[in-house]
Parts: sequence; C-alpha cells; structure tokens
Amino acid sequence: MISVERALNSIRGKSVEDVREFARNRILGTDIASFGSGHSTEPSEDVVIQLLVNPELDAEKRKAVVEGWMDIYREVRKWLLDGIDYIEDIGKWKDVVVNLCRVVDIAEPPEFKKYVKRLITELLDEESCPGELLGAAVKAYMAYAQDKKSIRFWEDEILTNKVVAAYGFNALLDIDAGHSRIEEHLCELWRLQVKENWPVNTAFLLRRAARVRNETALIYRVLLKLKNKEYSLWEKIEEELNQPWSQQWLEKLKGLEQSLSPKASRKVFKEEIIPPIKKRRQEYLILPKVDFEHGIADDDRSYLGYVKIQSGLFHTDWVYSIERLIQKLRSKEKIKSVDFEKEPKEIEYV
Amino acid sequence: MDVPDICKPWREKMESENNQDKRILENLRKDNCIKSEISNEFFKRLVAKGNPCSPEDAKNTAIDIVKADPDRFVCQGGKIPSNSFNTLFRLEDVKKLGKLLPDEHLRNFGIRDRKTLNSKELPDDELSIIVHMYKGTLDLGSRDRLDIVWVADSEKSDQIGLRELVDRLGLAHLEKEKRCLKIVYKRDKAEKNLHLPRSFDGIADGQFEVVEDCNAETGKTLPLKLPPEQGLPEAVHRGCRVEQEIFEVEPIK
Repeated sequence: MISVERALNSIRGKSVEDVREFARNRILGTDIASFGSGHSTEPSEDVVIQLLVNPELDAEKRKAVVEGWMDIYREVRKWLLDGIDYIEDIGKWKDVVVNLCRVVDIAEPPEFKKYVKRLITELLDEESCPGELLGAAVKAYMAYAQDKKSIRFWEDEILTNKVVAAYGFNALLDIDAGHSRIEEHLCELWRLQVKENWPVNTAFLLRRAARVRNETALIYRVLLKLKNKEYSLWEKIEEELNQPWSQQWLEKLKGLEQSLSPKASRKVFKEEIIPPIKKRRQEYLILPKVDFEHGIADDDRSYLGYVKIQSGLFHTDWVYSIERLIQKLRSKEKIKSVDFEKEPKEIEYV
Repeated sequence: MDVPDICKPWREKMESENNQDKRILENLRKDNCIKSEISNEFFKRLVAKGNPCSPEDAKNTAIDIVKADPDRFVCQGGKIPSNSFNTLFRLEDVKKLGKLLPDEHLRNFGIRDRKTLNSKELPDDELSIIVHMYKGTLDLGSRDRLDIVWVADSEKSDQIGLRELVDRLGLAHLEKEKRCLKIVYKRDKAEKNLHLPRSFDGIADGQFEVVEDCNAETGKTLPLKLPPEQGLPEAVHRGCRVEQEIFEVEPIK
C-alpha cells in the first residue's frame, strides 16, 4: 500500500473536480501521468483506498473521491444493464469491477454498502457473469458482513449461488457462528458439491465451522446426517475425506458408531447429536420493494412484507424471477394486502 | 555506471535519509555490466520524468521506467551456467496467496485474499489445506510489477532453518512473520532463462547488492542481520508459470 503522504501529495493543489477525475481514473487504471512523476509498483486504485481511509482528509476532497468511485459504479451499471455489449465488453470491464470492489473491500466506506449490494444483485442476474466479478463484489460486501440483518441475504442470494456459495457460508459464520441453520447449510452444500458438482470444499467449511464454534461434535453430526441420508452421496464423501487432514474423522466416526448399538446409535443420532426439532421451522420469503427504475431496493428494511412458505413451495433462490413470483403471489386470494408503513404483516400462503 | 549530472535532483533525493534508496543508487554506480546505450537511455528517461518530490518519488520514478520497458532493463545479466541452480527455491509471504493461486481455487474455500490471510482468521492447518488441495501450476512474477522472480538454489539452502534462511536471503518482509509459503521447482520447468541479477533488477529493493563481476556464475543475497559473507547464491528470471515440486506452508522458527 502506498504511504499516506504520497496519497495526499497526489491530490495536493487539485480542485474538487480534479480530485473526482483523479479517483475515477485511478480506479479505471487509466491514470499514468498525474501521480507525481511515477506511479510505483502499487495497484492503481491503492491511492483511492489510502485517501478514503485517511480520517484527516478534507471533507470536500473525500466527497470528491467518493463521487469518483460513484462515477465508475454508474458506468459499470450502465454496462451491465445495457445488455447488448455485455459479453463483448467483459474483458474491458473485468479489471475495472475488480478495482472498484477492492476499494470497498479494503477501505470499507459506509457510503458504498448499498451500492455493492445492488451490484451483486445485478451481477447475479447475469447468467454468464464471470465468477471473478461476482466473487470480487461478494468479497467486498463481506467487509460489511457483521450485520445480523443481512443474514437472509447471505443465505438466500449467496449461499444458493454455485460460484460464491463458500463466501456466503463464511459470511454467515462471521455474523453468527452459532446460527441454527449452519448444520443444514453444510449438508446441503455437500450434497450440491457431490451431486451438482458445485465448486465448494465443504469439508474445509465444516472444519472451519467446528473451529469457530469450538465444537468438534458438529463434524460428526454433519457426517452422520449425510451418512444416513443417501448411500451414493456418502460413498463419494467418504472418498473425499481420504485426505491426511480428514481421515481421522472417518476413523472417529466408525468408533462412534461401533460403541453404540444400532438402536442407541439412532437415539444418539436423533436426540443428542442432532437436537430434537420441536417445531417444524418455517421459511419466510422477504419481498423487497421493487423500484422499476432502480431495481430491487437495497435497504434491508424496505420490504413489502414477507410470506410464510411451506417447505417446497418456492425455491428461495427467487431473485431471478421476482416479477413472476410477485404476480403469482398477487393472484392468490389468500394473500392479504401489505401495509408499507408499519411493521410487515405476516401473510400466509397456503 | 556513472549517474550523470543531468540526474542530480533525482540522485539527491535518492541519497537523502533512506539507506535502502542509497543502496539502490550504490548498485547503479557499481554496475559496469550494463551496455552504455541502455544506461544512457535509462538516465535520459529519468530526466524526462522531471524533478522528483521525495525519495519515495525518486525511487518510484526509476521503477516506473524499468517497469514500462522490462525487455530492455530487467533480467539482462549474464546467463547462469546450466550445471547449477538445478532446483529453485523461493519463500513467499502468505499474503501473496491471492496472487499465486487462481481466484477460483480460493473461492472454493470462501477465502478473501486480504482480510482472511492472517493467522487469526486462517490458522496454519486451514491454510495448509488450501495449499495442499491446489494441484495446478503457479504463476510466479507479476505483470503489474517488474515481473521478475528472485530465486535461491534449493541445494544450498536445504539444511538451513527457516528463521536463519529469511535472514540470509535478505527477506525483510518475512522478518516478523511466523509462517510463509515455500515453493520449490525444477529449473527446467521455469521456461525462462536464469540470469545474474543486475542493478536494474534490484531497482525496487534496497536489500540487494549487485555482484561487480559481469561473468560471475551466481549472484549473492545480502543478509538482513548476519554478516554479508553469509549471503546465499541467487539468480533472477522473468515471471512465468511453473510446475512446482513443493508448495507448502512452513512455520518460520
């Protein structure tokens, strides 16, 4: 990272408009002349990061740097939403998006949170979006992960996406290591990894979760659950666990099973290893406000309401067909109207 | 080579305060193996860049010139004889993992390159898994930097403990680290020629001392704290993809 002094020197004497232009060009990677007499070996956007994290930076200049970032953000969105030249211009925009996201990832300016979230939503809409782009945006948004309100987003949007699922899982673990659905997500990720060829290393995520929660039993609960689920799935998992660092899991699992009679094993499996489920958990689908100019609202609190969903009725990966889903929901008589102003009412969909 | 008077403002900035910058300047002065047309071109470009504002600025100006035209300025020293440096060796900072490994590999583990590559977020055993699971080739060098790779001779460093090795190889950035990445690969897998390091190769790093003999068979590292004679043989090659023999996380102790 370049020094604070060098970053400040680079905008010394520049007008607010010039600072904006400078920040813009540094993110684009097109500035080669204005940075003193050389631009060193550091990445082009480093100076923008250094300026944003400097608490002593003049408020007007800081605003100009933020505006420079916003200019590029708008250009990226235009490219994404235009559609026509999307594929053709991926090469041109890839580095720019990565630079834009790296600024957020490192500087974590609060102003950019909602924009990065919106960018992710838009990238998710592009079926052919390169993993590198989506990954960069998701990594940037992870900078803001310590927010329980965002759990739903990480679970529904990121954990359900093949390319960035592991980020979603780690973000969830960062926000709430004891989250009740961690175990469920691990089983589902492993199934998707084996059956659908998702590029996720679930064994690593399981080990990480057990470490963060300080709970080795989590490993065996998940393994037992998977073993009892489907033989063909377990066979492949067993093969995968033949690594120096996970072989011991299989040995311990065998020991655990042998020490228990089949009946007791079932009991342990049901009552100790997996806590009894008293009440069937219901899924809630949050319906965001849809602004047809700007797309889905980015504020977590701006939602139409939520719908209690009985298992299996809707896939939670609904963002691709939000309009269709809303139409579908509206056509059902049992859905009541939604009060926008007050706390959201629960609407039951049967 | 002589630093001409037309580069006086640059030279004065390089001479002020920072020992590392002084050594870079010293290396340029000691280096008589670079063709005069190349060194003249370098100084001409230096003058064209204008007056540097600070020592940092002066150093970056030089880096900038070398970086813009690597085919003229880097890895131009004599070729290292084929009977040495059969197996090459490098120690890398763990933070470089994001550059070394393809993005899609790190994505499988949900690892962000910057904030999760510290030992609190990513303990040694988890880091080892990520490294162990990687079966592809490694991209050494960096096109946005000088794109040269500094290597030691694996045979000459095999028996040395890692803490001592960090010192003897002059790796200041690893001095306070508790772990690093060890990369070992065969010379014939590097696809690039090995060269004797010259002053332009060390333009970004003051922890380097140029070997004055233009026909020397190897360069020599400059230790951090140990005596200079404990330096180890070293060479450079341009950035390339390599098939590694060893790629692992090692504790520095």
